[in-house]
Formats: sequence, structure tokens, C-alpha cells
Amino acid sequence: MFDYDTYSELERGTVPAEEMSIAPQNNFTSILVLRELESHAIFTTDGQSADLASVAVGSGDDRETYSPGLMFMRKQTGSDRRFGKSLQRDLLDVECTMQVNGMCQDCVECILYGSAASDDADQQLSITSRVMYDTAYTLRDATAAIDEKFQNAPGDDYAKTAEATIREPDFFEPGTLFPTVITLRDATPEELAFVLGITVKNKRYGAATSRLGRVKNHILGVYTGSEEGAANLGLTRDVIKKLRDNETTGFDSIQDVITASAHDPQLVGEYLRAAFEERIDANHGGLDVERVPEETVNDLTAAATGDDLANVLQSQREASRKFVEQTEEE
Amino acid sequence: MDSALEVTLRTQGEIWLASREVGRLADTEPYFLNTALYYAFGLASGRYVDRLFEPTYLDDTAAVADEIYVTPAAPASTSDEGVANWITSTYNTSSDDYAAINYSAQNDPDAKKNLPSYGRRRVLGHGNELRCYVLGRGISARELEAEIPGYVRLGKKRGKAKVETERRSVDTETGQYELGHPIGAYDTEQTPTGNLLTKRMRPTPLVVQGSYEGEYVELSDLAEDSETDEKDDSPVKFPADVRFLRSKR
Repeated sequence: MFDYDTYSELERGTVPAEEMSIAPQNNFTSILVLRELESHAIFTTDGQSADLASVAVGSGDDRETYSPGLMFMRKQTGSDRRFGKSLQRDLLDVECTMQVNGMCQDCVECILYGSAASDDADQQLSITSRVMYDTAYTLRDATAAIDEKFQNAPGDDYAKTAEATIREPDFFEPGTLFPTVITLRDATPEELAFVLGITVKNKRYGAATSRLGRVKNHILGVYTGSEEGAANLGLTRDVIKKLRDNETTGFDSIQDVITASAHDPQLVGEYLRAAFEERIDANHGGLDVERVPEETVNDLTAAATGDDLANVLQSQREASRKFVEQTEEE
Repeated sequence: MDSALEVTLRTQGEIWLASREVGRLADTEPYFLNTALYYAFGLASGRYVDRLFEPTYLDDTAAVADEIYVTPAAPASTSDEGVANWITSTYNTSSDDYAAINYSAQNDPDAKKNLPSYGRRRVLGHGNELRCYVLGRGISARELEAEIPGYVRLGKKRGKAKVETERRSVDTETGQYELGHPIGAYDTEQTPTGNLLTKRMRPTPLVVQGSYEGEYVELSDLAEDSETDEKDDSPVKFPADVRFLRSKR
């Protein structure tokens, strides 16, 4: 589908579909994404309070420790995997589910995202994931980004019995931004297209049954190389410092940035990209990573979001099966 | 030993491994064994698809074990547990079907299987520092540095850590010494003479501290300033014969 003659820059971070190998090599692709909430969302592990962390940011005179809200790594993989599986059910004739013991271990999604075990007794397989997600941190402090909403479910009878129907879960506010990197290792260009397609098309994250949590994923760039790019935590800190240092935003200190009522996703996107590329630069320890040109990313994304996706997945499916079959001779 | 690096691993998010499973709680010990670090640093490569379900540490590291020894990583600070930030969270594994039957415990057809459903895990959060040492035989510190990537992935769900390296000078001595940093229990032929503290980990136990007698290597800060003659007052010491899974080869 995507040959290296046309897309030479992919050669650094991907493997050709016919050369997928069981032994890991050092082909890394990082997808830089800014996740923007377009509605309220719930990211919690206990059903009530939002996941928080405490992060120190800044240096010298202007240092703060703030409490960002978290989008746990699992909140991202869970939703993306469900979406990937449903894409496959639509486009290929694949019956694969997210049931813990019901993964088919034979489709593009299973083979890319991994599957530790299935209940198929004559096929003892464990497939390691080649897509890696990390916990994402809000730019703003939890006091600004998270709101407790009072919920009551009183029913509609005229005469009610006294029942406790009140909950106050933590909601992330619309407009909250999460700088995120998705890392692929030893993936084929087709698999990269698949992940890009999922990232562009998937718009719901967080508590799955809550009918909310709409997210817009801005893809800011794709980077390939022989090692990983920077991590979400460092990038989030960098963006906060850049927002403080910008004259036009009117923030004088880190405190202003993390308690602001809103940030412009366009501007944050530019800063996030700049922060990622600065960390690639040699002065910052240096990473063997290069940016993939915009046209290539657009081609991949177009293939993954349009009618071509069925063909992309179909050709990848053959390669994925061969890849797993390599272990059968052992 | 000809060269040595002190490596600091700074966690960038959750990193966890199931060191202990107590009912529905999985707990993480703040140590990364060298069985994991060889793979994380890219010195050995595993397999994406596994049918054997047997560890292959010896084969995977055969090419580098003589040249490079990686110690297990332990918390860099010695206060309380040595780790500043733990996170305990709940997980659940729901399917993506629109309708699913909620079986009662008596009627659940999967009750007999050990399937993950929900539980809690205590994990290393971000901002923790762990330290390990990379020792080279017949390889220069610069070559060692070139082998170590800027970021690595560790643990069950491939959590991310930032890697920082610093060179250390290496001296070989003989006599009584205290082990300065945990090593794998199978990594040396020397027998501790006392003061022994081990930690049970899977797949290999750790020797956390111990007194030894014999040939050892001493890692100290690179003393740039020879006039003040400031010696590192607590150099880290390892058995001179230390090698990954030495007694298993």
C-alpha cells in the first residue's frame, strides 16, 4: 500500500508489511496528539473522584506544584481498542470482541494491540502490544479543569420515599487539553494508518456508559526514528512554561497558566509541537527522531479515514497472519 | 571492568509489575530486575508472539552478557520506601458488547477460570527516581552511552521512563567490602560473609545488601579536581566477577 519509494521517511520508523519480524527491532513512530474535550467527561477509577497527580513545574523563582487531572493510559487504550475492533467488524469479516478471553488473536487489531491469552485451547498464544499509550496530564490545575456536578435521580412519582439518589462525580470541563504521544514500535505503514484512523475518528473517551466524554483529537505530527520521542509529562511542563513566556497571552507566572479559565487549542498545539521538536534537538540530550512531512501524514490519514481503509486492513491482515505464523515452526 | 555508567530512570507515568498478588490487589515492588532492563535498554530482544511460555534470558543475552552488565534498578533515595509517589487505582475489564448478561456468582460460566474482571493495583506513579549501573568489559564509556536510549519502556503495560546517564570511574581492589547496590542473586560466584539481605522477586531474587570478601570493583565520581583530592566518600562496590545470570550459564 505505502511503499518506501514514495514515502521514504517512513522507512526510519516502520517495517514493510512483508518483513514484519517476531524479534523486536528499533523502528519507532510517535504520533503527537492534542486531545481536546468538547463536552464534559468522567475519568475516574473509583466512579466518584477524578484521577489526580501532583506535578512540579518551572524552576528558579517561578516554581509551582500543581494537581493536574489525569487521563489514564488505560482510558485511552480501552476506548481506542473498542473503536478499532468495531472498525474491523464493519470493514472486514472479523468476529473479534473485547471479551477478556474472547479475543481472536488473528485480526489486525489483536496482533497490533496485543492479546495475552484467549480461551482457544489449541492455540496457546501471547501477543505483545506494539502500540504504547501513556497517561496524559491536563495543562490546568484540577481546581480549574474539574468540576463536581450535583446529580439527583429522584424519579417522577408525586409521592416519593426517602432514598439516597444523589451523586456528585467529578467532571472534566469542556475545553480541557491533554498533550499526548502515541508510540508505535515495529509497526507497518498500514498499521500506522490504522492507528491514525482510529485517532482521528474516535471521539468518545472516559466512562463508557455515561454517554458523554466527547473528545477531539488534533494530530499535530508524526515522527519516526530509532528511539522514542519525549513523554507526555515533560511535554505538558514545557507547554505550561511556553504559555507563561508568551507576551500576548497575558500570563505572568505559572500560577496564572495553571489556573486560567481556558487555553487556546490552536496555540497550545503550536507550543506542543515546538516542545516535542526542541526535545529532539541535540542540546536537550538529543533523540534520533525526525518529523514526517505533512503530505505523508495527510496521505496516510486520508487512506485511513476514507473508503481505502478496508483495503489497507485487508492487505495488513495477510501480513499480520504471516507474522504470527512465524512462531509456529518453533 | 573497564567502564561504568550510573543510570537514573525517571518515571514519566505509571509503571507497574505484579510483584505480589493478594486477592484482587496487585502490588508493585520498587525494583526493576536486570532481567527486564536488558530488554528495556535494547541490549536484548524478546519476541512479539510467544508460544513457548518459557523465559529465554540466557539465549537472548548471550551476545552481550560478557561485555555489558546491567544491575537491577533500585530507588535512588533511601528515605522510607525510597519511592515518593505511589498510585492505587481500580481497573475493570468490560466487553464492548451493547448488552451483556450480568451473571450472579453462582451461575457465572467463567467463574472457574482465572480471568481478570476487576481489581486494584498499586503502581509506581510519575516522578519517581530509580537507579542502576551499567558496567562494561572491554568497551568504553562512550560506547556504553551510545547503547542506552533516551527513553525506555518498562513493566506490564509498558510505562515510560526517562533515562539519564553519568560516567563513573572504575577501580579494581581486593579485600572486604560491602555491596553498594542490589544485584541479582545469580550474578556472582562470590558468597556473602554476612550482613545479608535478600528480596524475593520473580524471576530471580535480589541481593540487596551483603558483606563480601574478594576481588571487587569500586565506582566513584570522576574526580576532575585532583588538587583537592576529594574522594567520593561512599563509592559503590560490586563483585569483580559480576555477570548477568552468571551461575546459570
